[in-house]
Amino acid sequence: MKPDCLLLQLWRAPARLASLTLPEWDVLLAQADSANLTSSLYYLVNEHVARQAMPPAVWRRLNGARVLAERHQAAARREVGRIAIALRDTGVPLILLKGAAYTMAQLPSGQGRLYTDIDILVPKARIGAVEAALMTHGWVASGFDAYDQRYYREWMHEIPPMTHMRRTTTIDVHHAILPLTARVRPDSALLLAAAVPVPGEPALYYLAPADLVLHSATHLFFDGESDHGTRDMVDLDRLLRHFGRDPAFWAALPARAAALQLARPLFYALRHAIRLFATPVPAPVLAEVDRLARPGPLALALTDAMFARTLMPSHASCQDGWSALARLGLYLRGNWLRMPPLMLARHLFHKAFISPKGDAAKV
Amino acid sequence: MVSLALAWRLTPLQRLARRCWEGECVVFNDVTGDTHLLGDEALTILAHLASRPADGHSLQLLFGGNFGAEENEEFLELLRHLGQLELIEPCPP
Amino acid sequence: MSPVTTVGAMPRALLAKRLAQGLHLQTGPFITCVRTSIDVVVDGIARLYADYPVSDAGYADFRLTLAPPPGLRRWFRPQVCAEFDLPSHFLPMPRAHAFAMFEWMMNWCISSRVNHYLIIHAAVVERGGRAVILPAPPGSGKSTLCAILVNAGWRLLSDELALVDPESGMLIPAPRPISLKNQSIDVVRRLVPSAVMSPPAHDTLKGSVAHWKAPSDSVARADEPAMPAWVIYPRYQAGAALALQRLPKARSMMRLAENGFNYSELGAAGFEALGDLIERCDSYDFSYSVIDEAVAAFEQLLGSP
Repeated sequence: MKPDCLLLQLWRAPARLASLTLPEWDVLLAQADSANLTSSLYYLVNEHVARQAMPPAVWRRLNGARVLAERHQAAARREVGRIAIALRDTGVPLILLKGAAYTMAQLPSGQGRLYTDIDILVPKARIGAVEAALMTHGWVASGFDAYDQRYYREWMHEIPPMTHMRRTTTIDVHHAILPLTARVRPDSALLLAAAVPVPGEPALYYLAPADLVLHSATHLFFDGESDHGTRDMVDLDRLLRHFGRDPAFWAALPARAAALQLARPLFYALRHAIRLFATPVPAPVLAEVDRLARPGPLALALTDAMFARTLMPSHASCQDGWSALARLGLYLRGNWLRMPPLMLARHLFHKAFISPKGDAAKV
Repeated sequence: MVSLALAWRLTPLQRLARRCWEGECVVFNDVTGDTHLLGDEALTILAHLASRPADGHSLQLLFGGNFGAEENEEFLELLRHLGQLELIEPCPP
Repeated sequence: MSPVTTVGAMPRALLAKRLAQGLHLQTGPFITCVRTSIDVVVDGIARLYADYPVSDAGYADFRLTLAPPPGLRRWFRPQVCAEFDLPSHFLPMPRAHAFAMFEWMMNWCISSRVNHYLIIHAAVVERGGRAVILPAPPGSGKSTLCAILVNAGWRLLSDELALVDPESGMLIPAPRPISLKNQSIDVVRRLVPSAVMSPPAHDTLKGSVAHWKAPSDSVARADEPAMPAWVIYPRYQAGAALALQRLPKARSMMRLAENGFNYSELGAAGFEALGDLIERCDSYDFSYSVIDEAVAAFEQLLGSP
């Protein structure tokens, strides 16, 4: 019996928000908090329920989350501006990924978002220049030990996160969207070539619409971390609905996925978006993606069972007895996809026993 | 290198809120999210630069001019400090 | 949201049963669903929260669970994991510290989640319709001074969290057991031999910690906001002469901003709320070493216009 969830039910059918009882609000907010979606929920609720019709305590809580998210977004914008200044002289185009892209491009998926880092994509050949320019402007490399530094630089798709000395903000500089050791190698040159200028900001770009969707899908379905699964699915649903208003977007999506070797994550993304949010996806697109990337029946059954749980909010009311196992499966699976088996074993061994940093008990 | 000849302007897009008591002001910059404690002199400089950019010499005239060597150094330090706080910046060439 | 009963009106067995499932405890404007079977926490709530209402509205602003961690640690060195809606951010702790941890987590819930009040790390007491805000970093003797004043008849609004309503400028009460550390535990024991206190937890990160039951009158008046009149920065120093020194308002505002939990998050609104507060209040630095002198100094404040 797969877990169900009030939060997702209401996301699919938000009109029902207007008639929730106080105990139902209680559960809904707890689920939203566990998925970091409370601030996004504010906007959804705001569309369907008048403030006077809501219990005051509920409105205050939602509004408080919104206030926080707006501060985050203002801070993210400032930070992007500073990064642009720091990299101006390198001549490297600044391509924003994920949350920073959604905010600067004013996409619906940016609304209510909370930030920890800013993510940018630059050509691999220019990484050194970018790192140097950031350091000149006050960012410092993280205090990783030598093993982790090498792990990052040799095998990962990004350099270790850099933190600004005074502002304590963090930037992740990527040169690819998947690690170099992963089984598929989406070509960053293709992503860079298709990047779209951010309206009103001459030096800033974000990934083209199809690439934003594919990156989000990749991030979700290849990564080992699953505590932001619901959040990421909400993003995907919003991106697909927003860009999907243009038929040309749908027409080009399957071929683009194939060109970037990301048809499989797109398959999962569409499958679960439809299941969770009834995202409107044109039938021909589904058929083409199916043809390109449908997994074998056993793999499909396993991943269905896994994702049915890991994409739920982590709140107990959305989980069942299989959920912990599903999360463990996802962590191992995530790393498997990103790193060949021998390296994986060595990496996990190192992380569990040698690494000096904090809590190694992730597995 | 900060000299009195360097021209300054308010950092663009700034929105400042202030509360002043007895010659001291608490200033909030909505763009950076920073809160500062500034004296009257700093506020006078910011108010002037709000209308147009100016160099160190012109700004000194707001306080009657006639600065000695030590006072010059303190004044430059104040300008540097306001620059570090990102309230003002050197004018682009 | 009308409360059905108070903690004290419930038989102990019923209280334990309700806590095991999740009891909705009201403290000032907040309802916390507290779930625990740990005996020291159940005891602490039974004794120190006797006056507090239990809500049956089916809604909680926060959820707290305190439970022993799974596995062997449960038996060999009894420990406690605290869960605040999500998996724990806090280290497991010795069972004897569990009630102290409960209190810290109650503070954590408010200070990290609430954005409709400006929250300052400070104690708040009130008398004659005017309130004193006592901000202070740890080690300044704020909790001792707060305890002394409460014992001298000042109403307790909070011993840790000043809640400022940005719209009205009023201070919102959320009175809870007063936390005492190290020497202040002895001070209160001497002053109030009949004080209802939790057993001290020794060797915590903050030394010895105990909690003192808030006066029933303060809890009964938890829905009565207070107008702020003074911001007083206390400093206990053994042997120091009593000194009450006026502090320029701009400097006081900066200090309060530094002691704010959510000042940055509130942005311009936080700035304006803080500015209004400082405008309304007189600010002082206050050093003391003798309890009676401190109490008398505060009485004198009340006499001033």
